[in-house]
Amino acid sequence: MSVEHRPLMPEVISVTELNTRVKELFLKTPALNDIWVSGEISGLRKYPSGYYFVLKDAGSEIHAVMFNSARMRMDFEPQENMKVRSFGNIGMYVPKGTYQFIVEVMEKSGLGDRYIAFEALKKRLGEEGLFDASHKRKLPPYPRRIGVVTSQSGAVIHDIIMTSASRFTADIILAPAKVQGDGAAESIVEGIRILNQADVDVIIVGRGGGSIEDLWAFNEEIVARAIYNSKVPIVSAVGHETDFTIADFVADVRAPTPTGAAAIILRDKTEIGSEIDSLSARLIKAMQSDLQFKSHSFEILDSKLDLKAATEELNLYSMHLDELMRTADHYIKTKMTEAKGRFSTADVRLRPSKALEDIDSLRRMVEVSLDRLRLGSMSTLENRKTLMDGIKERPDRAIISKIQDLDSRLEKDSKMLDGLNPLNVLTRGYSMITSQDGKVLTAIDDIDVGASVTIHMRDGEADAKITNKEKRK
Amino acid sequence: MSDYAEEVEKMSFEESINTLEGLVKELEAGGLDLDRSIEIFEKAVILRNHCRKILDESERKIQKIMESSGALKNEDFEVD
Repeated sequence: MSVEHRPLMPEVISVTELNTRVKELFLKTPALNDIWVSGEISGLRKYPSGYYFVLKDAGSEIHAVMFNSARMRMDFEPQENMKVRSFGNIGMYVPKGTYQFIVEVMEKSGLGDRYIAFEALKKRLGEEGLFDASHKRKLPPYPRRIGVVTSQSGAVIHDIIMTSASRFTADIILAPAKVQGDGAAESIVEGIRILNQADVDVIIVGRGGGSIEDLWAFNEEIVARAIYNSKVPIVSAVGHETDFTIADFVADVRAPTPTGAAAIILRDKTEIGSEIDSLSARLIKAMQSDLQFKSHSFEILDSKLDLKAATEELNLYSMHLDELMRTADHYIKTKMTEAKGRFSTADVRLRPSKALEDIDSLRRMVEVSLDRLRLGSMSTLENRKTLMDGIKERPDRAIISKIQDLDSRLEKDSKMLDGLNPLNVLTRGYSMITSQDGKVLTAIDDIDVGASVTIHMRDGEADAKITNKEKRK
Repeated sequence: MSDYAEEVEKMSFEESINTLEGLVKELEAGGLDLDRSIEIFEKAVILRNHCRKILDESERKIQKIMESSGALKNEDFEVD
């Protein structure tokens, strides 16, 4: 039977091809990828490229490798016989035809109890109000002294010092604390206590990344209470961004990392600088527009205040007053003449000079205003404006009221004069005798013998000649 | 105005920038007489300079604090 006669050519593959196919099969099988495996470490060998060991349990074992990239993220040293949980994938090593578990994350087993304790404490403290937003204090915007509770040798203090260098200048006061292992919680509590007495504006409590066991001190109740009771606001910065501890829930602010804490607490210098610049710009703009507004108002006032214009204006008032005085004078004289026509002694009762004096005092008031204006003693524009308004209104009002006074007084006098009008007496049967020049004759001495007089009767006059006179003894 | 400069010298950054902002707002609101406007402007300039001075400061202390025999003790702290 020759090869040629075979109905089908069977597929023949190389060993390499076979192992490559197995490798691909592993990669495509979800049940073998991104899985957690628990087991005990055995036969641990440390090489520069990573750790090689066997993971085993009572019934089976598998080769495992943890490359350096993953090992760097570990916060504990794997040891022989250590019980661990490993996260990773099955990988095929094609040259040797072996498969192994490639570990990406490793944790110590026995963490289940811790999770339960964590959840219980979180629930209890939460119910007690330790996480309440109302208790959270605001961070000071520009702290001068920052307290830090962390390990003296860790990366945290280093990161905080470096990050803060380019930010708002603040002193940094480290309270060195043990941040993992026995006594860590007590040490952190002590650090918070000391810094509360050290006149700091804000406290950072933190440590770098690690396993949940390493971070455990930050889940202790005494730490939570120390943070809650701190008089100084506290920023927590524990582990990586994805790690949440009880301390983070109690803290006033939780920072994702120590670097983040420094950035939250201290504002960027450039940012503050531009804020100052913007305030300066606003200041200058406000001052300019204020001055512009004032100078505009001043121009308006100034046109009123211009000495020449103001003097002219006051001169006009002065002239106006002169005219009023003439009018008043004329008015009084007219009334006087009217009154005289009725009763020539009326001039004793009317006192035109008094009215003129009133107007004259107004004139003096205007002159005083004029003087004050010339002196320019009014300091603020507002005062000057008030004065201008006063000057404008006051004389007019005063003059009008004086004239009204004068008018009503003359009216009253006229009525009184009417009551005294001798012509009214004539209707009762008396006569009045006047001399040729119109003077009323009331005494015998006024009359000369031979003089011509006029006798005024109720309905007419008669001329007569004095033929004789005799004075009553 | 030198009295005010002395007063400002004692102010914290926060106090200064808040006062500055208040004055700027007052001036922006307007309606002040000239004397007050000028006073505000002069004060604001002093405050601004003070803020700038504090901001440009780069002197800072880095210390660690320990409690020894009941008293707090500061010592300078160096990081690499």
